[in-house]
Amino acid sequence: MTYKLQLQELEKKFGSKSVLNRLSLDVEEGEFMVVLGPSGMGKSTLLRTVVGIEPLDGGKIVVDGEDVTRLPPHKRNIAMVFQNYALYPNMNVYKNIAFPLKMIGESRDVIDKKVNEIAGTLKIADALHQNVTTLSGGQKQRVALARALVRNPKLFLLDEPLSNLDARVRYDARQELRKLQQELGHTFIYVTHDQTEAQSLADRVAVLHNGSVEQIGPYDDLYERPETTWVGSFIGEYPMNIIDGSVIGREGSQIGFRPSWVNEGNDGIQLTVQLCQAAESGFFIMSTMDGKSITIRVQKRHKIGSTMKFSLRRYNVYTDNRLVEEFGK
Amino acid sequence: MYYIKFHFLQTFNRIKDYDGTMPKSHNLKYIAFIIPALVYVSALSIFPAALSVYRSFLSPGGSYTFSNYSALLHYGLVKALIDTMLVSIGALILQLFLALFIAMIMVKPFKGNRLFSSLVIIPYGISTVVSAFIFSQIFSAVGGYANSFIVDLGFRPIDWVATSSSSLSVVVIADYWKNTPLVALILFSGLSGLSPSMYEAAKTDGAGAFRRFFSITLPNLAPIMAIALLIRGVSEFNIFALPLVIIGYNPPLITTLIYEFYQTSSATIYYSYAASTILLFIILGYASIVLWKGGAKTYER
Amino acid sequence: MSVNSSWKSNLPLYIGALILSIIFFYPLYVLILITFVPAPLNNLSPYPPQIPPGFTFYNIIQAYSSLNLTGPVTRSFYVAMMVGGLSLALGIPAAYGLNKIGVRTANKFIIFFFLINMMPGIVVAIPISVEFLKLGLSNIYGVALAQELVVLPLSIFIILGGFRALPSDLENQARVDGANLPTTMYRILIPMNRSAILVAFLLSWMTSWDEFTYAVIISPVKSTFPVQLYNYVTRAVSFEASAFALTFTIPVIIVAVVLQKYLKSQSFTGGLSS
Repeated sequence: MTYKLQLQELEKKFGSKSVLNRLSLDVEEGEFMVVLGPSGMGKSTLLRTVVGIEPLDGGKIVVDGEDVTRLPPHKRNIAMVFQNYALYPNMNVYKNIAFPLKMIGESRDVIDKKVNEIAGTLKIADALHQNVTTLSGGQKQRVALARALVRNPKLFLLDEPLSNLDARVRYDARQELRKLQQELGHTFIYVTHDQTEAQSLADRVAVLHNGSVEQIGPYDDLYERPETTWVGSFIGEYPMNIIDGSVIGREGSQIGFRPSWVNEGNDGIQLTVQLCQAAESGFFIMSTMDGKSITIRVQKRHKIGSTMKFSLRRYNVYTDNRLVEEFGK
Repeated sequence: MYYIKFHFLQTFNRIKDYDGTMPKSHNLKYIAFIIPALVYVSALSIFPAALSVYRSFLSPGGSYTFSNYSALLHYGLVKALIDTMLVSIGALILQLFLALFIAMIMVKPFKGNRLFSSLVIIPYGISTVVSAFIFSQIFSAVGGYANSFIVDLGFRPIDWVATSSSSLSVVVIADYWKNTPLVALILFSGLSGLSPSMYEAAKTDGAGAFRRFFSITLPNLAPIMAIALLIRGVSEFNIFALPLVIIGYNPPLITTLIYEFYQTSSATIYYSYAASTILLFIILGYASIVLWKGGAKTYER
Repeated sequence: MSVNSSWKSNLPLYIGALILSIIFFYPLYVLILITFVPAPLNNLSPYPPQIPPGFTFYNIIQAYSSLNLTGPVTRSFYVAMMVGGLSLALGIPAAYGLNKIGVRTANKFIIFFFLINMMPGIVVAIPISVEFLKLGLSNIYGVALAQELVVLPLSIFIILGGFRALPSDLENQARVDGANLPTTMYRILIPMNRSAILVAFLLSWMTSWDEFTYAVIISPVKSTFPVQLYNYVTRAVSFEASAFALTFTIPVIIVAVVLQKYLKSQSFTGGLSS
């Protein structure tokens, strides 16, 4: 299998703080890869090192089998869309999109043809001669995308491109982005802290923690079988419940289960209801157990302060925070 | 132009405590871009200054000597220094005093404020040589506008350049006219930074106008006055074009003395190196005292 | 302290403002008197009248026709242009570099530049003049090179302010879009920062137009406007001098007006906030 992009043991330090810590990641041709992680975990730094505007302290970046680690950004042929879109305010929309083509010395006719083509695809043909400062957030995002797409680069990096948009626009933009990527067959690496985006966009999700990839796979995999307790508590609307294994007789291990993996009953584990929240799929009961907060989903409403019992239909077993066994799948 | 200086001065004192958040990699390779400017400034400023100091210990023949310094004493260095000091102190006091007045009027909202502000600021935009020329015309013994006033009032006309004290006074007056606007702008920026609520509170507490001036305005203005003092003090000591145009070399100030030695012959130029060295160290001393005191004040806050 | 305070309560304020205005305007009034009052009632009379007894353009016409203004004007113009150009040639790269090395380190350099700026002009000018004489630079080119010292720190500071106000991703974006550093500079950074750059240029221009110390020491003959004016004053030809003084002040006012248009406070405070 040949990879579009291979990152091998990337290292990056800011002072004494290690931001990328032997990070390795392979991305396949035509794949939509989402890099997911909490803020300040080096997601943006990762993209900046790949595109070449931030120098690496160690490791190798291979694109299409070619080592580009030491190439300057303008020789890598990798496009990137920045979080704030970084449109050139001294140029209009047309000139913004034409800029990368001008840089590779395309002729005026070719530039004109390509800019109009991509503007048509992204539905910004009407705005081509507008000043970029007058555009709406959604339009800016399209222009930034058009500018990235227009020169047909090997790879697209997107740094939280939807985070500056209103909720409604963001939803539409997300659908469009996915459609566009599938139609064009480009390889996208998309960085975000938003799980909904990861869930709806990604072929595979790479979860970033402490400067390296903690787990990689389709979103459902990450949800169902997080390989570490950290991924378990990071992924999902509610964090995975992690409790001491001795509760069900597994000394020295930890038990992880999703709120929905329980059955309410007359025996089993007992807890006191501290909060009961209604949702479409039932009621979420929040409580604490051995000082750790846990959340379960049941079908009946419970009074705050009452006690109830539940058993585990399904659970994962973790030793030293790593997944060792799955039960009840 | 003054507005630029004004903005610049307003922000200058913030440079030293500015602690920005730029965690991004401190790419030291970018120092390469600064090197041309650094080299330029060093080659045309530090190097000549060092050359001046070195040559001040040389005789025209090239041997080491202190005779340049002893000759300076003979040629009235001490008087030139004292005169320079007098002019500097006189001009500084006059400037601070009047600038404070102007600034306090400028912060008051009244009809005609803008007109007043732009009128008193004009002199700073007039070139030094032009203002020197104007004052040489006002204070010339014959055909001088100051004397025509004095004669109109029934007094005897004054020969302004006859004595060294009247000559120096003329320089002080010309200098204060040219540079008070700058000091006023600095103080104005300080005054407009004071919160009105402080004054409201003081008024409520029954503090009168004088009380408010001495216990609120002055103490709060002290740091910015230090900046004005530093900037103007250094320039006062270097005052050159004004005395040269208005009173020539009589009496000499330290700068005109240096210039005169430089003009006279290739031998006396070594005296000007020696006098330059003395001026240089006075400036350095003055600047470090003000910076040090000013720095201490900033830390106290 | 409301704007609508009565005239009476503001009376001391108005009197103070009036007296100060008169004090500060009087010297300019004298310049106008000398230039436009018919001789010999201007400064040629022993005790010239304070109220203009008449008005004439004769003095100024006479002065202009008998003087060769073109030489000093052209030279001053060239020097000012060179100083402005040098400010940009040295200042833009330096400001770019300072913007990249982090605020703390940059501020150390800025303070260094400003400390150098405090060096007495005459102390520096004499050794420079002696060395320039050997190098054949005792002319307006030497004057321009030396005057640059006066304006460079402020120019760097102003351009740096402009760069700091730009989002850093714009430069990154240009690099990603395939531009090398010179292209990024030429196509993105300089156009985006043009108002700060223009302000730095005009300021340098104006300072050079006014500068006297370096000019008179390095190039006492065939020099710039201020030196020529000084020569007229020492030769006591006050008509010519006043015509000169007026001529000299007009470009400064024009440049100041142009400058005012481009003044955005961010160009200056921007130097301190990233």
